[in-house]
Amino acid sequence: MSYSLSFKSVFLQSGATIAGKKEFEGPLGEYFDYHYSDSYHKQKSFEDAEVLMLKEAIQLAINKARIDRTKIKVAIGGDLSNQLAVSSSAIEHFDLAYCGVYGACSSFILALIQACLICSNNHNSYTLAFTSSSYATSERQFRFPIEYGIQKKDTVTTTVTGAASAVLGKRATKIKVTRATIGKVYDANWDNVNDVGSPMALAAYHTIKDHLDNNNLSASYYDLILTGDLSNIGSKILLDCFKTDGIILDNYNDAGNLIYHKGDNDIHAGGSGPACIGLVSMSYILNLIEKKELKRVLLVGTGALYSPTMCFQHHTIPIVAHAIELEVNEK
Amino acid sequence: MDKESYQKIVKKHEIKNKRTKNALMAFLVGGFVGILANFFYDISLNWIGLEKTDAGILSTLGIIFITTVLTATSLYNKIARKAGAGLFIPTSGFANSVVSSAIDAKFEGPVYGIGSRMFYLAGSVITYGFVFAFLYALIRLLLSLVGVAL
Repeated sequence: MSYSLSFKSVFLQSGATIAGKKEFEGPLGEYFDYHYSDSYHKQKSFEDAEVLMLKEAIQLAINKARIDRTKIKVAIGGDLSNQLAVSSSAIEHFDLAYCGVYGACSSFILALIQACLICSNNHNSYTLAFTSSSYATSERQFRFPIEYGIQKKDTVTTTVTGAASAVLGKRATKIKVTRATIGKVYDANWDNVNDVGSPMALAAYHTIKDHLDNNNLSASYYDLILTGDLSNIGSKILLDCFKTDGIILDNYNDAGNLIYHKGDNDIHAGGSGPACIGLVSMSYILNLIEKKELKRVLLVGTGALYSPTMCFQHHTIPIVAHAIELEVNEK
Repeated sequence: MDKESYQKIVKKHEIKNKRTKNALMAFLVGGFVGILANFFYDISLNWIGLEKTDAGILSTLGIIFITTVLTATSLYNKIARKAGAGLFIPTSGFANSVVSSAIDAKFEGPVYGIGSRMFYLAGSVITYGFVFAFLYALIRLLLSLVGVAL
């Protein structure tokens, strides 16, 4: 069973995004703060480039918050690299207490929830949540060498290159963070690493349902329910799951389907990675909430918690989803 | 939601592989690679004047060389995405797996990177190449004992 919690007046102070080339060329390109023109960004390796990208995103979020920097005390974040190496390398440049979290592609939402929890009980200090992912580093770690010529399945998702960061605190702003749900880990009896959207839909379904049930809400309470990276297959499965309960989700979308142009063959089933929901929510969605075009948004980060080693040993993929709610501060 | 009804929904949205299209592309591209190799073979045999075995080796080297250049210039995986098994099955697939692994491992240096990870994907081909070469030799030996020559 998932666990729902609410926050005592926590506000989003700022959100910053840095995107890769392909993401910048996508339909949401204009909303990102900054973009890199290649996978190296004048660094020696892809990993170095990702660290730099994350470091700049964190700095940007701190600058945009326009607060006394010394009041930011804690940073929570995670990425996809082994041992969270990228996050640790990026955060060491800041004078902040740091806690790394891993939830695969749900890392950003997990970081946001924990950052809000710390804020919620702390009147004077601000917290920071961040995440990053990179196509080049993820391909190397989870799949095959980048230049390896393999015919990818149509069900494979493309890891989004980008970094997102947010500052949270008690000072009232236009956007309020009200509630969250920490999800349970499920087993969908699935071991196909070429299609993780399909099993993740199960976790997303349970987390959204539990979030609504625990708070006595109906799905139409939200102007938008945005999942992280269910791919175009997983999002259809999620809609069908709700349909069996008699609920039609007409306010639903998936960040992985928004970030790239539709019909781009290189993308396959859509975008994935913690930066997928990070980039979309901290740029495009924040913009819409600030303009009051969206009043209440539920962000659902979905993660396939697999390791290539365990999958080669024929273990099924554990899946999880976490949700957090953003709403317009009407006061 | 129980697992069975979930599996049913998943099954409904399953994407079918484009088998006919993939097989056709593999046939055409694989055939083209064969023609190219044969072209190298004919040149070495007729124009350069090599022995048959040497001409065979040279034609293989030609394919490996072209694959290496295409891989290093990031063109190979773009073509291979469409060609599939047409490029994967011939020597080009093997050459690409070695070169792409080496390129990928360059960040970790010559020893822990390129040296140890170059055969990360090709390793299975080499290992089982040895195993089956041994089995083939064994069968040949046993058959020769009963007077059958392969």
